[in-house]
Amino acid sequence: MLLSKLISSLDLQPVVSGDDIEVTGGYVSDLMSDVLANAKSGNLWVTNQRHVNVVAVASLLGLSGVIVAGNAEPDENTVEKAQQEKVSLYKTTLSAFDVVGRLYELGVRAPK
Amino acid sequence: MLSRYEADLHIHTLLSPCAEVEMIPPLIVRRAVEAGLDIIGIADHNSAENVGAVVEAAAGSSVKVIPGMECESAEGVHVLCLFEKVEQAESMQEVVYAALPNLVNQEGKLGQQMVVTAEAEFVRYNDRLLLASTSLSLDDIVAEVEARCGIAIPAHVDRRAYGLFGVLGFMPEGAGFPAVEVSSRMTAEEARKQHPDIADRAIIRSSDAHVLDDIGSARTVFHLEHRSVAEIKLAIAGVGGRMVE
Repeated sequence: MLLSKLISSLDLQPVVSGDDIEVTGGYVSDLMSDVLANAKSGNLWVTNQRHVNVVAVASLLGLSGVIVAGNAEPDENTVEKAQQEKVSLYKTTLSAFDVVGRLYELGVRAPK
Repeated sequence: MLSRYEADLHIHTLLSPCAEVEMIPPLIVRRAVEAGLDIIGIADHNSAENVGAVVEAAAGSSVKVIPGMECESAEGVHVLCLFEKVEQAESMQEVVYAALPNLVNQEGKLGQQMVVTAEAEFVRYNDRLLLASTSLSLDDIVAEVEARCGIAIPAHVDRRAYGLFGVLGFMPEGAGFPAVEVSSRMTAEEARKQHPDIADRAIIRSSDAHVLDDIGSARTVFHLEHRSVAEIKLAIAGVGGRMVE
């Protein structure tokens, strides 16, 4: 499914809009080392973390986007870095649990 | 004139909920002397409320006490923060307290957090939840520590729990860390091999002691003109023959 379709279905607030690409799966974690080890290129990542290293991890893995859940505001340098790196970044008042539940309902699955 | 000093820069007191109640200022100092340490750093979780007491307890002894704190960043990474003066550590503590969640410590679950005097007289329980991540990012912590002329060193980077490489998985680009701390489980050589991201940074080893017997179980040898944070920074930078062995 295309990223834009998922974003509008969940009514996520765009912070930085990057390329609208095919989402290959989903991952949820707040532990950067875990994401680095297990998320795959094109995955959509759900986290409560708002710091700049989120963008570093997303960019390194070539993720389709990052959803900062739980009504958290991404740090200023996180937004700047996402713009530079063209990483799609969204925020939402939904909890990480709800975001993942809805993504699952829409057919997004964990990476194999 | 440079001298060789043995340091264990990461020691907890009974203010840390996970530390044993035996970690009182007079016993920490006595054990440090017995262990042949010249410098110790006091670093409780997100608090410096017992630092002054240990400094006082060490007055007249052979041990120099470096005031510090082990801050937990928003990323969940522990950072050893060391300062020249008790007041600087206490000023950092204000920043950290404002950045901690406003929650009460659950003594039954996490342990007691005791504030004591230099003679180990009980002052009060610190009922703030100290074992939590602050809202300060790693960059924020570095900036706050540097504003107080201190040094910020990612703690036990090799550990899965709360270590920089265990939690974050990499050294962030442009991170202001001139040194990293490795736990007693690993030598500096092993750490460099296992974590190439350490690059040319200096490596210190500390005990992270929560019990008296662990004090000095991992240590760092510095060549310094005298015992101060300013000198430790110069040693880490390798200035004027000063060095980390």
